[in-house]
Amino acid sequence: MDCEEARFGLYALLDDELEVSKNLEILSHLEGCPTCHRELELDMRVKSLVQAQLAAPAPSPELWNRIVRRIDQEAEVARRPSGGVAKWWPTAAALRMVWGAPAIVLVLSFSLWILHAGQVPSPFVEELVQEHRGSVTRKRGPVDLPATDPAEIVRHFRAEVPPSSPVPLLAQEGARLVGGSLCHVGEAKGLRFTYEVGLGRIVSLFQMPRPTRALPFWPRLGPRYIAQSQGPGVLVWGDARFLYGLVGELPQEDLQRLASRMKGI
Amino acid sequence: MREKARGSGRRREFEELTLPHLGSLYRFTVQRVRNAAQAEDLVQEACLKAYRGFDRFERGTDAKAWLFRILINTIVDAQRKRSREPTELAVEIGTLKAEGSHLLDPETQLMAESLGQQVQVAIEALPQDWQAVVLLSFVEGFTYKEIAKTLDCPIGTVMSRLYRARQALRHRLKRHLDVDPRRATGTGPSVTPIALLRARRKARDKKEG
Repeated sequence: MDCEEARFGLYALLDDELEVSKNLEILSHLEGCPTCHRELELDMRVKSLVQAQLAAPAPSPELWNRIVRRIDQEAEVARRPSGGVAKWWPTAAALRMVWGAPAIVLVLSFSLWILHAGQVPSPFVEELVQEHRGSVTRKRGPVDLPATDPAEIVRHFRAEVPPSSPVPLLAQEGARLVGGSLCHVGEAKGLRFTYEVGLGRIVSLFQMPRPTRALPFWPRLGPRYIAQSQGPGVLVWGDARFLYGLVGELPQEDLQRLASRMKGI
Repeated sequence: MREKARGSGRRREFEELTLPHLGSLYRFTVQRVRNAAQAEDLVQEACLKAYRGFDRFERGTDAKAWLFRILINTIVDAQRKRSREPTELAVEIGTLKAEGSHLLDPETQLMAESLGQQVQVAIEALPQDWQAVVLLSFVEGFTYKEIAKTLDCPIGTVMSRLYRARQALRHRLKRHLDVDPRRATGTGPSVTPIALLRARRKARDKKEG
């Protein structure tokens, strides 16, 4: 078996889609061919990276109940003769809703209790901060500054970014600067400030040089727009020279509120 | 009364077949539409369609592939409908649903702060057809045959989409492929590809007796 033939079967081998005899042929080729072996290794890494890193969100626990309710409603409509007294009788779905109301009250009370409990400083904050701080700088960022004094962070970063760059600080009441880092996003170098904004929530404020070309999205929107991504909410805006971004596990409206309190906005 | 009992039996059977796949259906939809509420609506709509057509489902065949086929049609229909609606460009601040190659612009890279998000961005940058194949194969563990059945295309097309998608992902994630992801993600010690494949083959041989 030559390399071309082996590579044709590599993916199928990786996905466990080949019959055993073909597998064996490719495996024995791989053992003697470092180039094909490297190819396979890279493809395995791509697959395991996607499997390990892709978010796996779960639907709300209510989804199936909603589906069942709709099914019941449709079945009820199909069964019910049009008009008449029958429609005044409570349907199974309506009865379920009657039972559902106390359940909703319970869930709401529980949520309020959780929110109230959240006012107490969370023991996980430190952990969150560490994780948040480490996520970008893990590989390439040479600096991870565990300082909490804004002036110190600004002083530190002055050495790393053009001196004329404004260093934005989060002006939101209750936001506490808990760290900062110099990070690389793609090839661009940026600054990140990590804030705790109450309830154990962490947001990051990024600043990075704006690319020379124009913003590709929605040119009529002006310098500011909201970007929605899965998981953490993201707010990105720019001015003539810099791009700013707020990233945090906060609802978009909270991020907007934070952004509007930023200096220079 | 008898009709009602028959209806509840049908629903129970539908539930037994569908409920185990609800998480997968939702996960796939969220990946495609990038909006949790919209994803739930689409899954709900797909399940209703499936229930309406449940009599046509061939018992004993693969329910997962059948459900995904209905789901994918539902998503495509919704996206087609949406594309005919007026765009939201006039609003000052809107929700961004970025498309295609735009995703790798610096703003989006800025968003992609964690490795997970970078993988997400790389997947989103793939054309929709490739994305579906990658999600079904890598995440949902579909075989090529199941994917072909779900997407209603030949197996050769599945393989070629998967090939191109892998090349694109390799290119976009190359920075992260220089280190062993198993080590980076803490999923275990490094194993050579051959050892892993041999172990897998051995396990399968044992299973087949």
